Amino acid sequence: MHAHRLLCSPFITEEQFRFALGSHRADLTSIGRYLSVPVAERPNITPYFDRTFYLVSNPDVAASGIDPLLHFIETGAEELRAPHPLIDLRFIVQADPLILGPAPSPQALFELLEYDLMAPSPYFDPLEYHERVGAVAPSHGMLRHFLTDGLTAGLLANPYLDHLWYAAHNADVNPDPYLSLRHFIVLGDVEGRAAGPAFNGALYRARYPDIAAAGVPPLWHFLLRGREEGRQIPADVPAEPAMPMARAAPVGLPIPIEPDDVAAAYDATRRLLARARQDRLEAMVEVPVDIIRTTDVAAGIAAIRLPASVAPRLSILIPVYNEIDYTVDCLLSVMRNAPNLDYEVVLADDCSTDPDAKLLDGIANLVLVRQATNQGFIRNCNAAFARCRGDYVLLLNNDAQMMPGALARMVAALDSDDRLGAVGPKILYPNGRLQEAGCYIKPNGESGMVGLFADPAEPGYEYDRDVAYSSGAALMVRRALVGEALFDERFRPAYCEDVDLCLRLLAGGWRVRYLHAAVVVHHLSVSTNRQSVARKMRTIVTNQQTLVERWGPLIRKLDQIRVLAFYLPQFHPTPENDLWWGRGFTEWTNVAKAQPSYEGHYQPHLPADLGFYDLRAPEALRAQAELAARYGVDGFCVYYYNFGTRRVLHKPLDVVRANPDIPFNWCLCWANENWTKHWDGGEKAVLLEQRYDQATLDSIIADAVEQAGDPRYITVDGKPMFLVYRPLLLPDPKAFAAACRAAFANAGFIGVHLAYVESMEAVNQAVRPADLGFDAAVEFPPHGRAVPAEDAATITKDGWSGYRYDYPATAARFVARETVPYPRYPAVFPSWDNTARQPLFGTSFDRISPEAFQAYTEAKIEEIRQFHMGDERLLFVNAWNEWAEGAHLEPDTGYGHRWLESLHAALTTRRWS
Amino acid sequence: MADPVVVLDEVPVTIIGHPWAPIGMGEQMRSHVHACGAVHLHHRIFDIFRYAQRSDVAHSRLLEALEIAVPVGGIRIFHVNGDEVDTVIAAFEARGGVFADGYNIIVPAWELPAYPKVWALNLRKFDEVWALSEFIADSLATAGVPSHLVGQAIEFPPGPCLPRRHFGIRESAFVLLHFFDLSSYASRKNPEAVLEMFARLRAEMPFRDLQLVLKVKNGERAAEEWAADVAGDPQIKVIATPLDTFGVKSLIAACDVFVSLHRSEGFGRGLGEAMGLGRLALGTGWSGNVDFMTAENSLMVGHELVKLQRDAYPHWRGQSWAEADVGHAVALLRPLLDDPAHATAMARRGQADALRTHGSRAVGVRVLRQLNRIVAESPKFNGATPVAKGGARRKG
Repeated sequence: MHAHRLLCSPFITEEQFRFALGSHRADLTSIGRYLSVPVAERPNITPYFDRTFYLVSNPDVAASGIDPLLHFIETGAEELRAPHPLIDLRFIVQADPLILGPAPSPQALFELLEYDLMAPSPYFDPLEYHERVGAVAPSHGMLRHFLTDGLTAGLLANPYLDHLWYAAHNADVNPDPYLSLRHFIVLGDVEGRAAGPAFNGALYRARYPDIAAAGVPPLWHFLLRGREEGRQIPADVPAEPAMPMARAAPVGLPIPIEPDDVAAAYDATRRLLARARQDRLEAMVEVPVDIIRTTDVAAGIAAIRLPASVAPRLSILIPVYNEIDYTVDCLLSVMRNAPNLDYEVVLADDCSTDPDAKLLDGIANLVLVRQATNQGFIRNCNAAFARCRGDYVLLLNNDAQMMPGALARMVAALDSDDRLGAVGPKILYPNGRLQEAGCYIKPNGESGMVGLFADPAEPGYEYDRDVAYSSGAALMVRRALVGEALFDERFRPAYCEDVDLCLRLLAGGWRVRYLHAAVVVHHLSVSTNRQSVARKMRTIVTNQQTLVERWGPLIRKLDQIRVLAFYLPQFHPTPENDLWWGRGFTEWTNVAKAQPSYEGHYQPHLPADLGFYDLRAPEALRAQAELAARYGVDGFCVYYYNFGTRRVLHKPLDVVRANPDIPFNWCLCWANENWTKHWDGGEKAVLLEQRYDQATLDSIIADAVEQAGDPRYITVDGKPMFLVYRPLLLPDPKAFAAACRAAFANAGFIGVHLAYVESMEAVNQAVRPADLGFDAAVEFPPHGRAVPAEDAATITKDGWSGYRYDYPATAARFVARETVPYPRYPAVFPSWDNTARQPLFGTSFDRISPEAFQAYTEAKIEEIRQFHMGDERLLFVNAWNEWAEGAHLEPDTGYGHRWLESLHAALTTRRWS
Repeated sequence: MADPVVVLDEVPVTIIGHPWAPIGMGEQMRSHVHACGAVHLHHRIFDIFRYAQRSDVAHSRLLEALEIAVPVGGIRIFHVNGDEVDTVIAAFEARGGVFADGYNIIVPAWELPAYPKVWALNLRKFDEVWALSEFIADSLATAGVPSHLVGQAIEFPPGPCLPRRHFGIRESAFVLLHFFDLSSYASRKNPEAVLEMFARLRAEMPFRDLQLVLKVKNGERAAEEWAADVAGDPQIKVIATPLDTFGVKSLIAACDVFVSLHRSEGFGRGLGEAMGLGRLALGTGWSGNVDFMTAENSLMVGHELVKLQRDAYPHWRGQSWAEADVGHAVALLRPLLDDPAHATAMARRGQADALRTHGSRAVGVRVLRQLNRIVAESPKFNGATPVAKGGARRKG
């Protein structure tokens, strides 16, 4: 009897059989009972077979009247007929021709599925499923788990196929989880319907005509090949408004303002900047971290050896709720660190339901705090904290692992700097991406992880620096500073309690520091990702509100930014310029006669409110200072010129010094380059040569020291700031820096803050300031990273052979540029165009707009939040008044105050979000 | 232990009122839609009358995805006034809703210290009342109506603004902005006091670069006539074109100080929005606006309380409101004109305070607390089968 084969087939398990028929498979009567039921109603005796699916896809079987499962076992498997929508025998055999045996057998298929030997279908990958589902997944048999438990628990077959969404968005689909999944695989994908919010087949076909032509189901293709081939999932977003073209106006008249353009220029630039940053993240090659993965919890626990400690220097506090395997990994990683250090581990079990939790009792020397009832994260941690005895306490999540050396480095940092209240490590995801290199806090209480998803080897994450806080996943604090309770209970059940802890330290005058060489791997949120996302988000925003109510002024102070604009003091006649260029010459002479070089080219830039000012007049300087302050520019970085002790263009600052009531804040930037006929600082047609003899250097340093005495002079942490424009032209930068430091010290200053400008030859060198004896660098856009304009221009100026660049694309390059392992102050530029100086060889930027400038400025403020603290939160603008370079915030006829308004808008918005 | 948040996810929350209307009740409702979004509530909105034009891009962005055509049970938050309750309930039922099958909350606006008793009867048809300000809560209490204070949100989503040039506002000037209302009962807004204040400032500082910008309500005859009078005065700019949300936000951001010498305000949105955008606020130190204005974060103008004149406002009998001291308003603003740093510091403080107490998230958290309380305590939900299946859904 054929039916016997059915029952004896290893494709069917005894367990399932008994469940469906209530009898033993060897029981002869059970066959009869099974066969007596009409085909369509026969009980399901294996999860791997879908009778309806089989009958629909095999009309010949339906016609024959034979039991479909029996047909599959007897002949279907060998003929590679699919038993289930998620089991594709052709796909399996194509991937590995021998895996199902010489003649594909149901038994081999059963083993393949039970032991997850390979993916049974492009739609289902057991390994990916296991990774995604986490601890609730069984040790093997992922497809069985998915079909029997996962579907009802709301899990998805793959991250793109959201059958629940699919059912909700297709009226003809049965909302039953399995039926909607099957509907998509059998029909929906073939028709190109969207599989969920993350994948739309019709768009995929539209982007890749070859796939449309081949007629293959789009998601099937994407999962099978497209992903590997680097094909992109087209997002189902409304058509993006293009970057509007800059509008032109007759000379001297305002540029027309279209409200739609204002919004579109901002949005388009934001998208461009986001894309550039995303591209950088995607360029990273992920190298998973070699971490401990315990499979046998008991054996893992048996291997743990903790030191017996009477008076530990360090207490490692680990809160636990289930996930004992992670906890064992965590403890093994601590042990592997084996510092020459007296430490204890205080483990707080918040009433785990996992039976393995009992095994923790067997760990010698472990301080185990067991809660009688579930207390939630914060109370559990607080209870454990009360038991900690060490000078330092390391808060360590149980799903984190200390990489070798991390413990010792954190302890050493606290040992060596007694103003540090806490230190945090570099935290990685198991896939090798950066999780955080410290964190920042916005005034609205939201926080961000520095370098999230970036390449942890990027230079910007490879140096130690102070941060606003470091996450509680692995935070080492001085116990004495914490007080009675570790975390404030007002943050129960969890979230933001670690921010609050660090803010308590900062409020007490202590610092928190990120240590790049201490590395921790953190699974992140394994303990929470099964909760309702909305519920979690509500807890977070509620606690952010609490943070702001408690720490508002402190967070705002931490987030303060100063804006400094480069300032050209050229605008007044000098004997030198009178001689070389004619009597009364100033840059205005060139500015006023500039002509557009091509259609749509915005020239000339004619001054509006401040007029063609003369900087010998105190009124002009006062007007500038007041205008700057009104829009949030805190001070000017004034170019200083000295050629062989001959000072040039010093008059404006002389006026400022003589008028202490002018609210003009400034610092000096020594413009150490030759003056040439070409305005290029080069070696040809030199008018005034920059010299570096001792007398010159001495007089420069003396001037800097002398000016720094003015109360309006800009300082960083109390040290007057002094910049050098072209540091690499200095014959001996270190000696210069040392001389500066000595001179400032002699004059009674606590120091000098030396910064170099990333100009000309310094732009792409990433020279460490310390290598020059300096403290920091300053970005100098658009130099070195300008992106050429792609469209052709209609040239209207005879003999013009200049250069055109694209403003938004250039901004994007500066926003997404490589980070550096030292303080580099970000800068922005509103526009740039030196046609006034180079009528025929000018360089200009197209598609400028105040709104693009605003988006760019906001992105640079985000960069400051990530990389700078305290007085070093500086944003430079190139420039306040480089009129002949078309780079000026000062109002002109075309744009009026719009550049200043946009800068102000960026600063005002960022004062909250 | 029952977890109220989980239960909340199973209860539909619908915000009902005039979501698309370019009027105060519409703004009040939209501010609550923003607030609920900020705290990740699964809320829906329902337009009770469907009269209003739907042309404002910001409204579409906020509302479109949330709107439902047929009302459902669960918790329903009505942003309607006490005098329209009957028509609203009738319309609600005509559109397929069953008023009795849910938990109904009303969030009424009102501008005088005592809430009209006749309307209070209407409020009792609801399960509870939410107050937009302490002032309104006190007013409701005079009519024996208890309420829960939630406030309203004054936060605009971040983004660019139209520049001063777009409005023809002088870029160099120190700009005072006033929403100039000459419609019936406009004496509550007291626009004449603003004009007088500006006249005094001009008299004291004839060559100071000041400009008064008056946003006039569209189609208001008295205002248009008045506007004709000041046409040609370079120091007064009248804006009579209707503005959408982007335009209003831009206009507020374009001013230096938002001025309101109101006799009373239920909440005082304009002042709050200006503070949220980092602008100075100058207003009568009385009524709804003192929920977010303090002497440290804004310019609070002294006043005296006076009895309302006959028919100065609906339900005027026995009520009082504030007469702002114009001289004090001038005295408050003058020193700041000469000390912009102080003005900036005050505006920053104001921005931080207003967004902390009346940002979308702050209001959302208060709404969330009320909803959790209702779900946990109301017999309509407690222990009973949820009214309907909510939209919450887990992804794998």
